[in-house]
Amino acid sequence: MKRSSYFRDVVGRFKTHKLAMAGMCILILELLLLLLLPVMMDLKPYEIYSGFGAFPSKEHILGTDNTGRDLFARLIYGGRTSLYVGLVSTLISFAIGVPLGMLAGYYKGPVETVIMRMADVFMSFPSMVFILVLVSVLGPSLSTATIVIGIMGWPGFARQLYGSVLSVREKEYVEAAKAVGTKNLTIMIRYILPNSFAPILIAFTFGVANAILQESGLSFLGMGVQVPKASWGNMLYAAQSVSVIAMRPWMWVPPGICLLVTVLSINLFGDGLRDALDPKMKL
Amino acid sequence: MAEPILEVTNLKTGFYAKQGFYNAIEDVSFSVSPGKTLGIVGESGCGKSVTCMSMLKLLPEKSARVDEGSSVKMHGQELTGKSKKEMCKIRGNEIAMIFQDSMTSLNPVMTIGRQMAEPFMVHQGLSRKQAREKALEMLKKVGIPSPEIKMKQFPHQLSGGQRQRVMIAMALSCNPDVLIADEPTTALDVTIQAQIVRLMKQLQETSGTAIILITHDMGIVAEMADEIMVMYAGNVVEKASKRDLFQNPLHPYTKGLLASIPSLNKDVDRLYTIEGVVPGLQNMPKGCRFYDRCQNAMAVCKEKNPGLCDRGGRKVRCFLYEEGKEADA
Amino acid sequence: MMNKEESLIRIDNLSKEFDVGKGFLSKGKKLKAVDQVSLEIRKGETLGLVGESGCGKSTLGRCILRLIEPTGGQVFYKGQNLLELDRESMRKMRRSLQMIFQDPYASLNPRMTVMEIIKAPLDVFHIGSPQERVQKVMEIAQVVGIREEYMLRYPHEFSGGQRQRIVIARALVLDPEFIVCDEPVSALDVSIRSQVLNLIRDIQKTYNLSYLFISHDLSVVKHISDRVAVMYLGSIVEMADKAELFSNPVHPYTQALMSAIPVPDVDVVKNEIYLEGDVPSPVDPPEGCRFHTRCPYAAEACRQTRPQLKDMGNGHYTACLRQEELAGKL
Repeated sequence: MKRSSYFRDVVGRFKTHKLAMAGMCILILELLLLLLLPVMMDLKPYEIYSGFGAFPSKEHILGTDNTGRDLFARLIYGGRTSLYVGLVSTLISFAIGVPLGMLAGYYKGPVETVIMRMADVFMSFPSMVFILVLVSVLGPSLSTATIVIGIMGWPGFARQLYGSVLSVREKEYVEAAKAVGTKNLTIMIRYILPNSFAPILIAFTFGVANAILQESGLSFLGMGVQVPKASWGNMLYAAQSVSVIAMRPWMWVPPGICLLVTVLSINLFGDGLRDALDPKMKL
Repeated sequence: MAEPILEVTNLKTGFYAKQGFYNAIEDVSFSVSPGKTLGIVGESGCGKSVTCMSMLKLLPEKSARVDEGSSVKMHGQELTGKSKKEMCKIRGNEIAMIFQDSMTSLNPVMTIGRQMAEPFMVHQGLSRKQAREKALEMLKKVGIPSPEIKMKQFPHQLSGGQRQRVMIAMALSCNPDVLIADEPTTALDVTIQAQIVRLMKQLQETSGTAIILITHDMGIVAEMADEIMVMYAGNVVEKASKRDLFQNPLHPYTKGLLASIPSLNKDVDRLYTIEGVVPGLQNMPKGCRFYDRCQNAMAVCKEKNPGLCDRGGRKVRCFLYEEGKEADA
Repeated sequence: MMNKEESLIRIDNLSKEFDVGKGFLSKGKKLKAVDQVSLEIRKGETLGLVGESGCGKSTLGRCILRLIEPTGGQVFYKGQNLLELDRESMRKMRRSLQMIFQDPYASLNPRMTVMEIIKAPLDVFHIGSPQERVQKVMEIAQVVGIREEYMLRYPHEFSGGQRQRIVIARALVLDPEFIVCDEPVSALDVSIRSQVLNLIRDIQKTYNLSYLFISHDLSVVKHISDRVAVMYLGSIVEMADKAELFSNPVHPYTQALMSAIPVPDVDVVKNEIYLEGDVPSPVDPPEGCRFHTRCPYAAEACRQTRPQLKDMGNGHYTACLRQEELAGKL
């Protein structure tokens, strides 16, 4: 008899999902490029060269921006910033949302009410406006953007986990754990969390994609990562002028494409992950 | 004995799985006569439901295949070659089915009255009003209390026993010749089960319907069936009249099964057990499928799957009873 | 009632009401799942509890273990009132009080190996060193018949019968005194059922266990129990020694239940008592005797007065107003 494990089944199902595999390959490639290129090549994203707004050439393969900085170097460093914001802020949402969702789902009564109503309140704010206000109070920077996006994202995770905990909590094996006198914390961590983890893992991937978009939005509006630091969002900031859009496409097309491809790949990866983790969810 | 109304010979069905094609049932033959009940008993996975699904061509064509040598004859007419449309007409009109789970078999958003009137309108071309009257009549026939009120209710407002009665009423509404009941009482409580068994027996007496009863419960077949067919791992292992089977079971599996049921009339300290588990589709043994668990296993049993042999009007699949051998138990 | 020294578990007037239909505007009703049940379970004894679905038998079992908090009454374990214990003391008490569940597919955590599942209770109570725990798990696994090489597998790789053995091992590993068996064989196939029933009986003898054995199947209950209690709509209607109950059932419901069971035999002459109608809803139970709506012997008095469980001598209890009359007649 062959040993089969849950993990192996998941990998097997994921492999059959072609688009998801493509998304994963692109993401891995992108990560490698973003991590290795700055080490291998001598990229200077902050150095100002002569000739600003220059057309792509041998020295600057993607040209230079309005201040004369090398756009290729900025694209790579900007990608690092975008991914960093995406991951870190989603981790923040995750770290707040998962424990709260678990508590709300596991304990009925006041705990549940307080946490879930709080989530409702957070979700009923127009989040972009709220983030804009917070950022302008705290002063725009990479870390404020990351933290603020992270804090605003927790209700999604909390709700997602709350929903699955509600159903897992009623399973007989949870009752069995209670019957042998297992402590509540152990039940939550060893019995409920592993069995309700799939949906929040999927939510995590979509969360990263969403956070990257939010960062770009903020930076595009000038409230995110501040020049001279680069991010795909603040590279697009340049495209706010009509003349740049019309006359200097090399300034905004590459970061735009990178953003699109990254977010799309993450979403495809997430789709594949969902189908692989929970084959029944797919209709 | 009356002419059989439904005759199944050499039914063989298999499924496509990841690793290949596996036979779920093999060499299944039986027949039923009007007014008689055939009980098909066996444990989960023995192929009893697959048998009926393949007879009615209800299995998904993508994943299942009924072998070409199989024959299903209704009134002498071959069913295996019929198209989907023709089968659809036969199901419901000539052959009806009752399932175990009445909650999922009834449409939850349609009133009982409408669901029951539908087949009359479709199959017999009655007007809505006539169909409703017919439906009401059927509900009265199956003994539903205050049928006028129940007609306007939805399935979830009825109790499990009442829903099963509705299912029976719907199955019988077109006067089928054959009724296939797949675990009709398994989901019900014993006192309600007794009601349903009695109802089915009464209805059979008046209509003369032939019933194929699929169940895992030896008690139910003892109450209802005339003839019993025992299945194990996709094979028919024994077929006999009810009396013969219960008083003198031949196949070691049947014997073991009967001995392992706790009885209300006898007291034993330990129950008889059939050790081991049923073999899965993927690893069917080459020889007799019961070999691993059989107390009477012989060398030949490991090598060859025995055929179904005749023994005084009853059939048994075991080398103990092959010609020339007189092993008695 | 019975001799107090002997009883391991004694419950007095135990009740559990659930709130149903309580909404924003509606006041809601009470569902009386368990209604003032009193019984005793002695050391080394099996009390069988039979009844149809929804009669409250599972709720009663869970109330005894406080997996569901009862709304009234008392539960004593060796003279200690379990309902008075605080959370921590109750948690410690669970070492001696275990449960075997109905559905072996639902009662095992799919993300834990067999070893982890059986060992978990030992980890909870920090019993022995890690090596000793593994040792203990191996011992128990051998007792219930799980092979050593299967210990690192996950539950989904096992058949129903083997899973139920894992469930039994988990209940056994803490050396409990009392186990609630909630329909432990009803999800299993016939040929597997007898294996598990024999196992449950064997371990009872080996470890001197007491069981509350809950089932809807009278023949299984008869096989495994020493005494049997019959439950209908939240109350016990009859309770007696097994031999007494099955040879001399007094309550009309018990009689009907026995006659409704299909017997796998051809020549058994059955005493046909046939019940009309359905079990009434426990949200709105009938006045008087709960069974009068279906009882073939119901008299006017049965509609008014609720019968109490009365001893008819030799430990045979029934709750029927007409038991003296009927006992003579049947």
